[in-house]
Amino acid sequence: MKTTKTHIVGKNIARVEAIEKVTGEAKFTSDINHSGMLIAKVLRSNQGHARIKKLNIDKASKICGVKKIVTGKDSNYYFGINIEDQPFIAIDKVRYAGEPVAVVIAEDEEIALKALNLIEIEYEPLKVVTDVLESIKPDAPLIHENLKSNIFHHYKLRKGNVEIGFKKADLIVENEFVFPHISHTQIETHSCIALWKKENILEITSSSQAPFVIRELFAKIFNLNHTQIRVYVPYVGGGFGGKSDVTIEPLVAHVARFVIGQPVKLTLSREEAFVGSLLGRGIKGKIKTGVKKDGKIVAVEIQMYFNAGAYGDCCLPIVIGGGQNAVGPYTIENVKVDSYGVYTNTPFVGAFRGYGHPEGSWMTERQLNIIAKKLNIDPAEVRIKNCWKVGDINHIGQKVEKHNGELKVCIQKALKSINWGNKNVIETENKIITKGFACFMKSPVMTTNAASSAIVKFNPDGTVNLSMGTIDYGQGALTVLSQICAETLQIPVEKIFIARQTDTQFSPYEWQTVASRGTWSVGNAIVSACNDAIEKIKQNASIAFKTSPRNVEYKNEFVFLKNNPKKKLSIKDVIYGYMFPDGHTEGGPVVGYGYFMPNVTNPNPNTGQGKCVAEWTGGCQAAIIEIDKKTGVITPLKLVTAIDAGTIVNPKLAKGQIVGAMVQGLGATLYESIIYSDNGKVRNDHFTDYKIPTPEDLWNTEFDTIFVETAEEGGPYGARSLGEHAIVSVPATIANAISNATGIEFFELPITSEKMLKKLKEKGK
Amino acid sequence: MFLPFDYQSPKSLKECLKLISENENAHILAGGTDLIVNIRSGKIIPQLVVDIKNISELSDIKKTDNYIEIGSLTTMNQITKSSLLKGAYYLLSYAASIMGCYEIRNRATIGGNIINASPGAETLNPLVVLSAKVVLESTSGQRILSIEEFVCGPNKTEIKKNELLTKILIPIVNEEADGVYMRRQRVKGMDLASVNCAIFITNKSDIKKRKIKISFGTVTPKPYRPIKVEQLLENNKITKNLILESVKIINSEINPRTTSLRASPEYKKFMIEYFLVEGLKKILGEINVN
Repeated sequence: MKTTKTHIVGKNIARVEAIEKVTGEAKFTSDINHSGMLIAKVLRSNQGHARIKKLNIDKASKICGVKKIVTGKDSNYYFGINIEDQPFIAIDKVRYAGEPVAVVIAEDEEIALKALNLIEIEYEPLKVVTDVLESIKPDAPLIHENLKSNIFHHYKLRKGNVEIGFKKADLIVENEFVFPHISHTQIETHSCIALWKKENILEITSSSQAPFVIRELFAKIFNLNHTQIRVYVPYVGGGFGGKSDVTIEPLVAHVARFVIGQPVKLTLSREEAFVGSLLGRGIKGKIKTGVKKDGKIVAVEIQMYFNAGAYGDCCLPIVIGGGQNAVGPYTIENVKVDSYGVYTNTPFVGAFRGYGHPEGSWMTERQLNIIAKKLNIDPAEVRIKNCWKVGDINHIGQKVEKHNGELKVCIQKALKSINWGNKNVIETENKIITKGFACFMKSPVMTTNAASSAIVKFNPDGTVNLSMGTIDYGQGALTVLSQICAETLQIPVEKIFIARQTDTQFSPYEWQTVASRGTWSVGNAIVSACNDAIEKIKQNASIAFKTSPRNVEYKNEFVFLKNNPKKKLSIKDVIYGYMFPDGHTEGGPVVGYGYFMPNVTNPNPNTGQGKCVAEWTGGCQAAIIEIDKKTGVITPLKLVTAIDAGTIVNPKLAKGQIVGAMVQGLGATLYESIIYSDNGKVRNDHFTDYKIPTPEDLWNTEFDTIFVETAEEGGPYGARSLGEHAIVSVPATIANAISNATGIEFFELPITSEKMLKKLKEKGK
Repeated sequence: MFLPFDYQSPKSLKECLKLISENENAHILAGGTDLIVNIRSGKIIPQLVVDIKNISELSDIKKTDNYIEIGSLTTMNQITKSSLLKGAYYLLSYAASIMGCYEIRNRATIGGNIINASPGAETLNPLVVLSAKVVLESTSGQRILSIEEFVCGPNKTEIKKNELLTKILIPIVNEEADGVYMRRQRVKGMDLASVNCAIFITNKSDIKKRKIKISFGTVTPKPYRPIKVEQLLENNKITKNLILESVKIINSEINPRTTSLRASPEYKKFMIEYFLVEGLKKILGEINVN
């Protein structure tokens, strides 16, 4: 809890790793080359669903320089963290277009490509299903034929009794919503190097958010202990969830086993990154809301069908997290959510900034706007009437506490920023300028033992090496965590060197860098490690002062006697033990260790409720947009996020996260979706036809980020994290703005200029 | 990423023409912004690539008695900055200025843009309405074709395997003239045109002598000229009804493909009216279309 004035926490210090990144000194996985390194290239299925009739590698194997061609015949193992449903390489049949059917390992890329072109493959096409609602029909083709249905997971949330709730309602509104698959489009595509040093020693270098998850899974897959696997992560260029859990690593580790002693590298091309790693989102959902005349929600019933693609392992926790949080930051007496994970013939889905929350928000926040209009009350009033208040019991049965933040203040501040209520719509001959807003809430969806740990190691000159297991893939974790460390140790931040790379052999444990939990969870571990170091400094000092450690005080790099502050020593004199005048030294080098473990439980399997969430962060997003009536082009003039994320450690970096998330949300709102052909191929697996916002799209956009800083009781200096939050409600915010001016209700993303113009023409605008 | 191929870099036009007359399967590398992309995607697997970047005589813009001559190697950024392509010809340099991104415009050439003949190619519609011609050279001589004759469809032109596109000729217009180029794209940043249009009008102030040329991209496989509409608009006062009639004629003649990822036929048809109204307004000043 933020109790004292801070010195470095709250300051805009520059990114600690900025220079090495802008000079190119920073090496990313694909920059790393080892002597004797082999290159892997993947032959991918061009069929969405098909039996492999023939696969002939004879000609390809004969090419000079080809070391090994691995196919599905080489292993019948199915791996997974949550469900073991995925082969390394397709066995007998392919379940999505882009699935690996063979991997060539060769001396160089040219040879590998040449061999790839000589592999002969014939398919017997099967019925392809890429639509999630088609896939749950009884006559749908089974994606995994050993199962009875394509539904692999069903999460249920039950609070109160919705049937009774709906009876009390003055108005019931039902709608259906669609959020398509989208791609993370990290600037660095996935890259991984695997080296089996011996049959039981594996070294991995990877562009990953989750080295410790990789180690855990590989121990299971390859039957190794954790010391036999080393996972190293250098600098990483963008993650957004798309490099969490595991992506290409199992494939690379599997094929490298056939060339023991030689490192094997696979770097995805941009096209492969679209189909060969993870996709995000992809839901169809139904929402039924019952309200009283005054806008009070009495019941809500939601069904969400997550299009998980061919393999469900990475999507399963999103099915749970998405369902758990679908109702948003509102206290509703009667809640029934059914969230389904469904197999289809598309590339598989995993974490994407927001982790199930944007999907729920798209339904809930649109629905509230539609309800407000039907009741003819201000949409702000509907939200304020229903939003969490201290003491409320929320949808999963947790009590809302003061330190969970001031949602109502966020709503008020966001609305003030767009001057809501004053000229909400301005229409001219060619343009419409309109405003909209939506609330958001995000909780870190994680395992119950998602631990963080940190090691603070003093050097003889008083500088500090800080190690932790979190990855900075652009979000600024290295800087923010250095600030927390400097604050707690009371030393200048320049004296701290935080490890840029993570190595499971040296770095302390970290579950993975996901879920907007780094500042909070790793920050807590660092505070604990720093306090441990200070205790050890005091112990060494007590030797010098010939007293008990409890009589020693530490402040600003000095130790002194509590009752005689004039008797003091620089920490340099005590951090490696204390040397007496005759040279003999007592005590030893100071290393502090700390950890953090969230205090949460699994949900009750019958109700879906429980103490599942360690911290909540909410807020409100708002926008002013301009609609061109002749072309349908939507231009954001202002995007606003008011968020209560507790204490802000570095306002500039925090703003960067909020703006970046809003822009990424804007992409999903206006432009982005994965488009499938009839046989399941991704038609826009390239930036020519997968458009994301660029600076030119934002030239006329003003960004406003508003921080309401209610200190988090369980956070370092009152901080929580804020990486994902500002993506959550951008789609609903913009769609609500469109609706407020035109009455046009969008239920499906993206809202392209083409769709906008069509609706405007239909309305006679 | 590429399978091996042979590479030649002739220093003169003569040397180049000899080379391509002897190698029927040569692929010409100018800026490379299409060729390299096509090789990488496997669409083209070349045996021989002939790099013409070192033929300096091909990258120049000059004015002769009858034409503005643009060398086929002239880059989009050179066209953008050329003082010869102002006034009536500005629509061409404007089209060049919004093509791709700055880095691509440093490399992409006008010759390449024409030969690639993408239905949405940025320079094709302006060249059509400017009545441009292309000069094709080979060891056996020279041919000159109008740009409309030359372009046949997506990635298809009348060029023969032994020919090189060397120059683009834009007739000098002595009368009062003005033109406009418009496009729609999905994002404001780097994008291909989803649908585009160029209009060029000579003697715009004299309704009796007025000549109008219009060309649309991506609505048919090659640049589409609505001849009937041009005639209709040339000698009549432009009214709402005339525009609506024009749109009706155009929409009966075009057949945009339904499989485009960039715009649906419906959107393209909406944009026909938008382009006509906005383009004519821009050139002729306020016209009453309400």
